[in-house]
Amino acid sequence: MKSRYFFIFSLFLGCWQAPALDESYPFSDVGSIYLQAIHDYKHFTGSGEILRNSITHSFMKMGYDVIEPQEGETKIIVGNGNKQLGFTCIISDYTDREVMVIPYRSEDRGYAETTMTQSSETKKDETSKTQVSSSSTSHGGAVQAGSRLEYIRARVGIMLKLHDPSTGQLVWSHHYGYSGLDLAQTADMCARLALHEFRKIF
Amino acid sequence: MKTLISSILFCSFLLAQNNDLDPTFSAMNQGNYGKALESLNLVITTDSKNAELYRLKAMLHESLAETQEALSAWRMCKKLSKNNSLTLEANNHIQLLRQSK
Repeated sequence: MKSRYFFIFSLFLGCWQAPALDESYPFSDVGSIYLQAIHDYKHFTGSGEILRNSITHSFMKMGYDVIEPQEGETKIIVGNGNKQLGFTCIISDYTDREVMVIPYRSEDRGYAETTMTQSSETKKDETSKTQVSSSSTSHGGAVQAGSRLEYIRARVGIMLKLHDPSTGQLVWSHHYGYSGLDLAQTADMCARLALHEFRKIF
Repeated sequence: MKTLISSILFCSFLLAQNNDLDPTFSAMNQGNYGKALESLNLVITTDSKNAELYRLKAMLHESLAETQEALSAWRMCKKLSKNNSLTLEANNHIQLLRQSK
């Protein structure tokens, strides 16, 4: 009975500490990465192509050579080795219009209104008389607790995998999510954030 | 039934009026992020402990390519956040903005 609990606990611990990177894999032997076609997110035609462009653009900005021998095929040169890894990207989230509501506490602190009236009168005997009157009114203001602010944002989530096609071994995987006000910019940022991890491997 | 329909129509009218009056939302709709930021800063002065307001502020700064301001807004959002997913989101943005600096 105890061994069963130990096995379940070990399994849980194994999942909990599951590595995203297979450190035993010889990454120095890898020469290129083959980026496979990215499928569109449900009901969002063209999302796969947009993300593929963002990824290749990010690779280029990071200084890697990108080759597109045929339409839809992308090869990224990462080293001098002769091994090739397959790179898979799955779009887990691609939302262009998510309505966000922010409830906030607003307070009208009121204001003071001061009116000044000035009149001057000059008589014939050259004695002048000046009258100044002022009135002040304070407006109390009101505390409102139910104000809200609405805006629309975009969200992009991607799941990335690197595998060795010769053995089928999964060597690296990660998931990234990003949000922003503009969809194209958000997709670009998401790809950049995800690919930054590549520098640690290659 | 007529009363119910009238009430729904009246509520819709009130909500529409409320949206029209929101200067941050209308400025963002027009793509005028600078103006949206100005009106959002006014809102933040009345509720300075609201992490969600800082998230929007940070995203507006990001859209305006103001990295340093975006970074400090995300840090403030993370500090005030009581929500795990919002903290994670803030961490993601802080990480990327640090790289792009």
